[in-house]
Amino acid sequence: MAKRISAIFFLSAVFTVAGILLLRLTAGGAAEIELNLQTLVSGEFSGQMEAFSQENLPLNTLLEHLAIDFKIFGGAAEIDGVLVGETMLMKNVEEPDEEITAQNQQMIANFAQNSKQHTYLMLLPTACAIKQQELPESIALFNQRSFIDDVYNQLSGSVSVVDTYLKLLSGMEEYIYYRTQDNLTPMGGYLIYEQLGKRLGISPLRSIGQFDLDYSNREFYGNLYQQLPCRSIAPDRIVMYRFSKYRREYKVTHYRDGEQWTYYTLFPEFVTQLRPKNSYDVVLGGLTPVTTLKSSVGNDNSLLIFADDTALSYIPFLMVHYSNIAIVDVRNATPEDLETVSLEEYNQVLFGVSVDTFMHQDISPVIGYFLPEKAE
Amino acid sequence: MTFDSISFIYLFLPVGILLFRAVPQRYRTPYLAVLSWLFYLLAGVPALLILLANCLLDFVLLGFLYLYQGTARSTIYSLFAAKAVAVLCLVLFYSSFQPGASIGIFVYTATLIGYLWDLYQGRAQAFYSFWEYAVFTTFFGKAFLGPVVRYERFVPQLAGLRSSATLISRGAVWFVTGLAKKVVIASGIVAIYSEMASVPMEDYSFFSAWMLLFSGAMSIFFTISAYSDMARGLCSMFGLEVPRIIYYPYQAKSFVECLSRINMSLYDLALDVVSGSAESVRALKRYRQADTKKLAAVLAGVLAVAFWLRPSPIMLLWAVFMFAMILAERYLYFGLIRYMPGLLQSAFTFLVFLFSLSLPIVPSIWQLGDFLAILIGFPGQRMLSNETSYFLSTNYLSVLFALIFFTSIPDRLAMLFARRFPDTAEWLMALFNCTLLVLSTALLL
Repeated sequence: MAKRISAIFFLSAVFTVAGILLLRLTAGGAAEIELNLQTLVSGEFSGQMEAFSQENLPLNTLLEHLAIDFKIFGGAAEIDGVLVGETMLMKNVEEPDEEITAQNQQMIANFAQNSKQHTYLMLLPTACAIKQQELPESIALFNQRSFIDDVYNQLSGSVSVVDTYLKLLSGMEEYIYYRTQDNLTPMGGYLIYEQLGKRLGISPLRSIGQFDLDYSNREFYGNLYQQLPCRSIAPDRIVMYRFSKYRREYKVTHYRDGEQWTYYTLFPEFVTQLRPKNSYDVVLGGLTPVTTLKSSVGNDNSLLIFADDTALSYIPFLMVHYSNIAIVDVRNATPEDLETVSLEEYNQVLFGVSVDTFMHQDISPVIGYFLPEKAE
Repeated sequence: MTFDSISFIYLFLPVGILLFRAVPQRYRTPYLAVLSWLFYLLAGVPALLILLANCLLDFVLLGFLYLYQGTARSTIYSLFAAKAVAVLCLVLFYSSFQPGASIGIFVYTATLIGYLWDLYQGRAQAFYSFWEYAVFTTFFGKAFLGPVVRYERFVPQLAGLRSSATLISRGAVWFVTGLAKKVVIASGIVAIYSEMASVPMEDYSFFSAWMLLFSGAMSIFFTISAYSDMARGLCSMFGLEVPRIIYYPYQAKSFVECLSRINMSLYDLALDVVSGSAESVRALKRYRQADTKKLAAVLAGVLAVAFWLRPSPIMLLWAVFMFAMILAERYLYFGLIRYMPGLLQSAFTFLVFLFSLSLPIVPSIWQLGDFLAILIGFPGQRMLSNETSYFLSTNYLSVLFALIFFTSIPDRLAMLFARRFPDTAEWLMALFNCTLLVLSTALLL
C-alpha cells in the first residue's frame, strides 16, 4: 500500500481535474473551442484547449494567488510587467517606441503651429518613476525624467511645457498614486493642479483647505490588481475633493459612438453603485472618448484637454476655474466622437498624458483630426 | 502542447492513461503509436507529418534492408544512416521557419541510427510490426529530449505492456519531480541567464561574468534533467522503462565523466558506433590505457553531446576545447590531480567546465578575450554590478534550489531515509510530490 500512495495521490488529482474539465467541456465549454483543419494546422486548437484548461481549472484563483505569493517570496520584483512594491503595484514602463514617440511629438508641434490657441504640453511620470522608494535599489527602470526633459527641449519653441516631475517627487511619500490602479490619486491630482495652474495663468490657485474631503464608501482593487492579484497589497479608496467655498453647478456630458449622456455633478456616485467593479468611475462617471464639462463659474475660460485617464485626477480642481472644459481621450476617440468637439470654442489647449501613453500610444490620428490637411 | 502545459497534464495524460488501461494488452502498442501521433498533431501538424512520413518510409526501407544479403552491407547501412542525418538537417533547417516542426526528430534519428548499428552488429532483430517500430522511434514520452533508447532496452518491453500501480507510482514521482524542476528551478535559472546574457559586454563585472556561466551551466542541467525525469515518468506510466539521460555531471571528477553524464545514452551510442563497445571505453578510468580508437570514440561522444546541446559551429570549437582538456587530463596533469581529495577534483572539473562555457555563451567570438579578462579578474574590473545584484535578489530562490539540487546529495539523503524508514518515507514522498504538483500547476497558470 505504502508504495502506491504517490500513485493514488497523483492519479486522484489528475483524474478529478480531468473529470471536471471534461464535464465543463461538454457543458458548453466546447463552444469556445474551434476544431477544424485550419485551427489544427495553425496551432490555434492547442492554444484554445490550453486557454480553456487554464480558465476552467478547479481552484484556479487560489492557485494563481499561490503562484504570485511564491514568486514574491522568491524575490520577484516584477511579474508580467507589474512591479511589486512594498505597499503598492506599479506598471513597469518599458522603453519607448521610437516611431510612435517621434510621430506624436511631430503632431503636437504641428498642432501648436497651426492653432490659434495657446498650447501646453504636460507629460506625467508614472508611479514607478516617482515611487522608487517602494522598489529594490538595484532595479533598472526606464529613465522617465530624462525622457520628459528630452521631449520638452525639442518642443520648447512650439508649446509651453508643464514640468510636474519635481512637484510629484516632493509628494513621493504621500498617497499620490493608487496602490492597485495605474493612475494618480486626487492627492496627486492636486499637486499637478498646483503646477499646471501656474502655467495656465490661473490666479489665485485654491488651497487644498478650500475643498471638502468626501470618502467613497467602497474600497476597490484597480486594473493592476486584476492583472496581478497580490494579497499583501491593500485596496484603494476613492476620495472626492468638492470645492465648497462657492456654490457651483456642473454639467458633465459624455459622448461615445454617437450616444451621449449627462450627469449634473462631477462625482456621479450612483454610477459605481450600478457598476460596483468600477468604483474608479466615480470621478465624472469615468472617461469616455469625449467628455465636456460646463460649470456655472462666472468667466469665459475654456480649455480643451487631449488626455488619458490621468485627467481624472486633476480635473475636479481645474474645473473650479473654467466654465467650459472638453476632454478628448487620445486613446479611444474616433472621428465620429471628435465631431462633437469644436476647437474654436476653447481658448487654451492642453496635451496632458502619461509618459507611458505618449511613448506607446499613437495619438496622431486624434490630433490630425484638428489639423488642416497640409499640416498633417 | 508540451509536457508542461495544463491541457497535457490534466486532459491528455489522464485520458491517455485511462484508455491505456482499458485497451486489451495486444492492442496497447498500436494504441501508444496512435496516442503519440495525436500528441504530435496537437504540438503542430508539421511535426506529425514529418515524423509519420519518416516512420513509414523508413519502415519500408528497413524491409528492403532485411532482405538484402549482398556483400556491401556496411555501405548500405551507412547510406541509410546518412539519409537519416540528412533528413534531420533538413528538418532542423525547416524548423527555423516553422517553429515546432522539429519536435521528436532528433530522438527519432538517433534512435534509428542506434537501431541500424545494433542491427548491423546482430544485437537487434528485424521489425515485423509497424506499430512496434512506430512506438520505438516516435513514442511521445521521449519526444523532447530523448533519451535515445537502444533496441534491447526498449522493444522487448512492447510484447507485454502492463500498467501496474507500482509503475504508475514511480512514473508519477518522476514526472512531478521533472515538472517541478522545469517550472520551479529551470525557469528561474533560465530567466537569470537570459537577463544576464542581454547585458552588454562593457557592463559585466567579475561576479556577473561568473554568474552568467553558472546560470548557463545550471540551465543546461536543470532543463535536461527536468525533461529526462518527465520522459522517464511518462514512459513508466505507460508500462515502459527507459534509462535516464543525465546524471549530475557537475560532480564528476574528470571532464570525460562530466561530458558523458550530460547525455549518457547518446554518448554511449557514439562510443559504441566508433569503438564497437561503449562498456570497454567507459570502463577505462580517465582513459589512461586508451588507444587511438578509444580516444576517437570519446571525441565522437563529445561531438555528439556538443551538437545535441546546440547544433552550431561554435559548439564544434567547444567540443574541441573539451577534448583538449580530456587529453590534458590524461597526459599532463592526471598524475597531480589523482592525489587530490575527490571533492576538490569535482570542484576543479566543474570550474573548468564553467570556464569552457565562455565559448558558446559569449555573443561574438571576438569578444572572448574581453570576457576572459573579466573572468580572470584583471585589474580595473568591477566585482559586482547593480544588474547582478538585482537578478540575484529577484531570483534567489531559484539559485538556492539550484545550488541544493545540482548534486546528488539530496537524492542520497532521501534514499538513506527511505531505507531506514520506508513507510514514513513513502508518505512523506507522496506529500512532497503532491505539494510539488500543486505548486507547479500554480506556476503554469
